[in-house]
Amino acid sequence: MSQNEAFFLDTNILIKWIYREILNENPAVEYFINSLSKGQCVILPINLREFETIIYDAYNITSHVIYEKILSKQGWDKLGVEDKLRVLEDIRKNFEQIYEQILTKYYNGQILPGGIRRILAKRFFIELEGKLIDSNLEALRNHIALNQRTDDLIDYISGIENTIRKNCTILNNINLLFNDDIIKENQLIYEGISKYISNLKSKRYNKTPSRNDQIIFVYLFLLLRGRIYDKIVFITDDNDFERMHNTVLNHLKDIINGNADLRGDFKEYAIEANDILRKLVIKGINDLITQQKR
Amino acid sequence: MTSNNLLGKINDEKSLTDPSFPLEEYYKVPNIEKMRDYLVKRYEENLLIIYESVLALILNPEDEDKLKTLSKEVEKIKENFELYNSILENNTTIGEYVNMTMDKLQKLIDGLKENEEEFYKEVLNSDNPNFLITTYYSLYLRFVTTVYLKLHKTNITNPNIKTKDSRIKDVFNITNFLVGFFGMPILIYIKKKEVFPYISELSGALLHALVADRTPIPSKDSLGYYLFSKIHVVKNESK
Repeated sequence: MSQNEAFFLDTNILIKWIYREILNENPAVEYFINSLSKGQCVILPINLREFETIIYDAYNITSHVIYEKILSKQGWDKLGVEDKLRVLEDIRKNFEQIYEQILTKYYNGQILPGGIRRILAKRFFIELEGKLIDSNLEALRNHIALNQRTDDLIDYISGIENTIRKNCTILNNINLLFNDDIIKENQLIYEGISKYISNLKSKRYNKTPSRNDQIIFVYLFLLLRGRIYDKIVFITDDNDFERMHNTVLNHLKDIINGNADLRGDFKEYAIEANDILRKLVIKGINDLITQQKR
Repeated sequence: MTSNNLLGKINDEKSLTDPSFPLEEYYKVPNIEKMRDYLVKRYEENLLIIYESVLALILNPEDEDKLKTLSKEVEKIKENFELYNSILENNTTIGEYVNMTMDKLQKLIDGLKENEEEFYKEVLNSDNPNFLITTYYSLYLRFVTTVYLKLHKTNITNPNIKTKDSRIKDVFNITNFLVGFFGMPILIYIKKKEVFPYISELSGALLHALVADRTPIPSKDSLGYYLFSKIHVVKNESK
């Protein structure tokens, strides 16, 4: 492997790695990441931020559940230990249902649905049960409903970020991102992405690449173009990126062949962009894991 | 703040201050709905520059090159937003501009701090308790305070030159934009009882920057540290 070849982790891979046990994921994901050197394992801040936002959403709902089911009810602190346990068990057993109720009632359109947030929220709740029994009401209120929640979140997430930073490089190169010279190639990439999105829409797919995904794609392009890396393997868990990559490549081909750009104004740029994008490989994590076993 | 508002508050025998006041002091917003639509659009089109600026402001407030690049991008997106800004860059010396900014920031922080608990209680006791907006308030307050403390260390060697010619104006320019931009969801909530559509993503941006700035020495009564050790540490040790 050449020195400037790196593996970039998509948000869904960060989740699989960090929450492997909770999600009952294949340990091979962790082995694979551990097998990479720190320089080879790269994470874009935008992925890290997306990952942290998922934790943030989940923790807020955990807090809301505790607030609604425990703190806003009278007399929690008057209950004996056994009664407290019974209440907690009740919440735990119906957690999924309570989660969905709260999400629909209070956070419609603000927090994305999705099993991962619910699974994390439940796990946070279960881990906090001991504290819910021990702590006095005042302290609990400060942590769950008032300003200490933010400190707790920052502490929790810094712990996770430390783990990530031990294994991987968080790459930040803003000069590359905001450079006016490369606007023409960028424009072609964005055209390709829009083509991909309108394609999906015409086929009535509801799931189109998020704004984050589009930025990530362009970011990877710029890293290759700026020769920060010679080759990038982007590891992900679904085929959104692969399809986006293919559509953009096809769009570039159309320009090179003159089908999409009759006067040939953009041909030169399309050739360059096409050469660059060939150095980007999109890989499903499962392919990598099986490859490693062989 | 109208006198009506103030009287209402006094009659309620609740807080004597209006939580929107410190924010309105910072940015004048004549039409809150227009502002919301404008912000949604700006955010959707420019999220990257907004993310990167937050991070740079917290982590690299002394990196002039980086801030210059970002400031140039911020200039492109703030056009109309600037109309609301009561801090004028033109026709001031950098010394005046810095003093104005710091003075406003300080008032904003004090005002937010003063209203913090009341804000949480009002949201939680309302028909529509929303934990995203309370956490957002707290993240925003921390963000503004952190920025203020970092800017406080800025050394102004030549306070009498025009702001536009100054090399350190960028960091203050970005600050004014971000403090206003990120403050708006709180103002929108107070005025309209509406939660900003991208509140979760914006919180993520603030949280990410605050985490990156943090030296990890968690306090021992932190539930976050407790959760971390239960979910992520014990697991590894037991192997």
